[in-house]
Amino acid sequence: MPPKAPPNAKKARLYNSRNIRTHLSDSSFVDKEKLNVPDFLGSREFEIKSFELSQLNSKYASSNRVFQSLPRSLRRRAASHNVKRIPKRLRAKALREMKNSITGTPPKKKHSRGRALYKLNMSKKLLKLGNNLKLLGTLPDRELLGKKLNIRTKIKSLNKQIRELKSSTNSPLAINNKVGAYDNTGYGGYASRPMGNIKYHKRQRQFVWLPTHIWHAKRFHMIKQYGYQIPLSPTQKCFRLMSRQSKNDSIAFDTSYYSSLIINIEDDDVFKELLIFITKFHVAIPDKILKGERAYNDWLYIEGQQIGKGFIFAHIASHTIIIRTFPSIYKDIFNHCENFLMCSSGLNSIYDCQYSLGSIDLVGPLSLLSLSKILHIYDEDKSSNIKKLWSVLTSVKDTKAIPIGFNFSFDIMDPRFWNKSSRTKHNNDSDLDAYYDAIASMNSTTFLDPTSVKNLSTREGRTKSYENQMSIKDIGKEFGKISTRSRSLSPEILKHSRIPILLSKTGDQSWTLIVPWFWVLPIWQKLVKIKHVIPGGIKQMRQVNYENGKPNFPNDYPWLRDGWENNLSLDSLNREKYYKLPKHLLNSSRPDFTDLELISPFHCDWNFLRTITLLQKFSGMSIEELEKDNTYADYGEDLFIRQINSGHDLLQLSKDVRELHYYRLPTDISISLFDEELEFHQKFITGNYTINQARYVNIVSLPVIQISVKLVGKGRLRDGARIYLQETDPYNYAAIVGFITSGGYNIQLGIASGIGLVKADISIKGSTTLYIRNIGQTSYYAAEAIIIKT
Amino acid sequence: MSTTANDKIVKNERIAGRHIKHSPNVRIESAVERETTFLVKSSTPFVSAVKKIQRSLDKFDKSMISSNSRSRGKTKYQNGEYKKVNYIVVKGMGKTIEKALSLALYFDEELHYQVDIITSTVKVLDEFREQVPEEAKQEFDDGDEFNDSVYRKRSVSSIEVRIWVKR
Repeated sequence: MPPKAPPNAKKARLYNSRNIRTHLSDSSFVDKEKLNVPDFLGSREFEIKSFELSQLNSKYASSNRVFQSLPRSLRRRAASHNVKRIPKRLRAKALREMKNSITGTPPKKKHSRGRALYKLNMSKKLLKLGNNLKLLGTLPDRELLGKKLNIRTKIKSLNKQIRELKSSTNSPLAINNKVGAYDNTGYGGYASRPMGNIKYHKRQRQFVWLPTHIWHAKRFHMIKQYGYQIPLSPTQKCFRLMSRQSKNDSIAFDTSYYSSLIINIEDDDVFKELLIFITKFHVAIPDKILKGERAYNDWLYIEGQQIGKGFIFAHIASHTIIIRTFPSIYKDIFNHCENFLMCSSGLNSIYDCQYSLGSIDLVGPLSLLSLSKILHIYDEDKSSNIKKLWSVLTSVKDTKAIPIGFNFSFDIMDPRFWNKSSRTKHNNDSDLDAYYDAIASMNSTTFLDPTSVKNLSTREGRTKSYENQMSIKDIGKEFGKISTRSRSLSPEILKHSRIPILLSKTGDQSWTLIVPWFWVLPIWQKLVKIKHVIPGGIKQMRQVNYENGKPNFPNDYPWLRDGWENNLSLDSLNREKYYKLPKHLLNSSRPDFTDLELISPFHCDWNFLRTITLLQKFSGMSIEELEKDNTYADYGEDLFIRQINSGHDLLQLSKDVRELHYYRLPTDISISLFDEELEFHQKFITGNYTINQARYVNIVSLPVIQISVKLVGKGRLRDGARIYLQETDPYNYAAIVGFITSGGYNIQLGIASGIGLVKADISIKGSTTLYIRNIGQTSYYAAEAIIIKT
Repeated sequence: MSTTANDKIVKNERIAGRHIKHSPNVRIESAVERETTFLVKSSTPFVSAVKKIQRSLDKFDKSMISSNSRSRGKTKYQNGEYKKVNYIVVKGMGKTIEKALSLALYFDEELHYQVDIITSTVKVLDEFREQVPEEAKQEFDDGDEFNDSVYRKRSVSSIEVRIWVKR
């Protein structure tokens, strides 16, 4: 019986996927003994082919749309109705699939009319005018962009600007390229925010776009923070991927939101003095840092106070210091340095380069190797020191032997001139020996090209690097001229751009690449195409730090301003989330937080820890004494201060005391990192201190130490979990000794781990066992803790 | 610290400073190589090494695919680049040679795998970071990251055990 005819196309496809058609004639047994293999195969050709076809059929049987056969990394949001989100080779098919079954054509979008159409036309015109200006070698008037004008007035004044430019024969060019790259450095103050393309200017007025913003916005969740739009995390699931990537390959981050400043100091003594002023060194700066051989990557100080970690590259030969910090502490550092320079003698200057230097961070063992595939050294001298070292170092997998802080500086060519990323050629036999020699040579030789350092750190140098920067279109045209087989453009064009870079090793397996702002995008575009590199956002940065047991800025530093504010915002966000959930969605396993006034269950309540610790000292009672039964509240002479006779009194008083000092701002930080030079801290760890009045507990800040913990057995760890010395009643809040600032399951270790802070009087020697309880739960987990040296 | 005969410099002089050992395992590997190489550390327990090696051998064993429910459907190791894999490499150097040899014998005699043993020498790099004298310590706070280092190459015996997969 012939098979039933399928009712529709989809069913037909499904039926096809179940059938393998066969070819029955078989004449390969010629003599009935010998099998003629070519003949046999020839006769089976049809069968084999249809078998293969059936495999494909069954693979795509359940898929409706062409993009479903794409690997996940190539899929894009909203691809089902926008063909432009599908790779070109699949677009024709995608269009066919989008066809309306009734009319046979894709549904047409409704044509805008009236006001909407007018607006669209106008904004298109704006885009054109912006481009015309770029071609004329200038940028739109900054004042025009700052004003709140309607599009018509904007277009009018742009037209005027263009007319003036065209009529004047020798007007000075503001920019030296067609792509709109310009150096935006602030001298004698902060730089103005970058303008961006005129049509998209308005949306980056408050939060500056990174050079790779458009690339990231298509593929990442973005957040607006610190005056930038920062990539948060890829839209795709990537937790395990990133973990593996950081272990075996490499992750890249666009960190252009880290802000840089450049200081020029002619006088060498002042130069050293400034470095001592802001770094951890008290007496002298190591020679290696002064010469630029090593970068300083550690705490920055303002008047002896740690304010955050930063990167400093100093090069005394060219009188230059580059300081790169997290954006939230940048202005403090900038003002601090500016004040220092005003009071010091000699010629000096400070430049705000937050929008003129960009950077890319890489983490993972293959970072340097991946970079070497796109960074082609611009150097006439083939046998130069740097080139030799570069080729040796990039021939190995593990760059752990390279000292941390090591700096490279050289010029590169435009990476887009190469068709495919390519590894430097090596002869494999002498690899290990050459590598060891190179490592040994790093101890004594510098690998800095002085002109490159100068070009990167001066406005003229950076502007020069943008000269005739080629657009993607230009490069495409050049590629059209050469044969498809050649790896790169012709040698004359390769010398078209000369880009100064600074590459520094910032951690065991992490590197930072500092380049002029408008070169970040070309480098990024090539970098993400390399097999070993996967891009990440700040969430991934935190994940990598967490998995390596390193504290992450700002959330693991609650004693600093940014960490404190981060912790406070966690409180309000979690609180809102807790109360927002509608009743029918509540599940029974959700903890019922009853003691909200005592201790906040939504974040690490350092304020509570401080108050309870110091009040206990004030009461002069031991923990055993405090376990007595409750009595009625007993107020002494001070009507506000309850006498402490039991543990219950202590908790109640801690609540009262915090309310008593309502004039204290929540942003006042109630903890500080243990510093053995401070008198109170010394007394605190021995216990030889006194609290005379209950009110004082709001003024004293609690010394804490940072620890990294690892659970001994199975268990879960969450942010904000509470740390105890032993298992106790969960309601015994007075027994808390610290909090976990970031905790979770660590897939590198295969066990739950975390980073936290405990009171400084908890003695942690070697590895100590502590007990940890998650918020809202009753089980305790034993954990091994070690001190993190911060 | 053990010294070898062909490294005269280390034998004759004692270098002061913190000794940092650098891994000689720096060659860029392919994904297949990464999966088929097992490095024996001095801290590796013998039995866990046996289990790990056995697990990677099983991946290539066709007979295991149908019987073992955990590896069911994993035809990945029968195709493509993995098809060319003939043996799992177990490497050990210095004091782990003994452990690597025990592993070789265990797989040879107890589990009846074909085993090759190849000896060789590996060059390793020693770094000696100068210590700051106590009185000068205040100057550079803590850590010795910016101190000068002395580097020495040293040769260490090593062994490579090839355990042939059963296909």
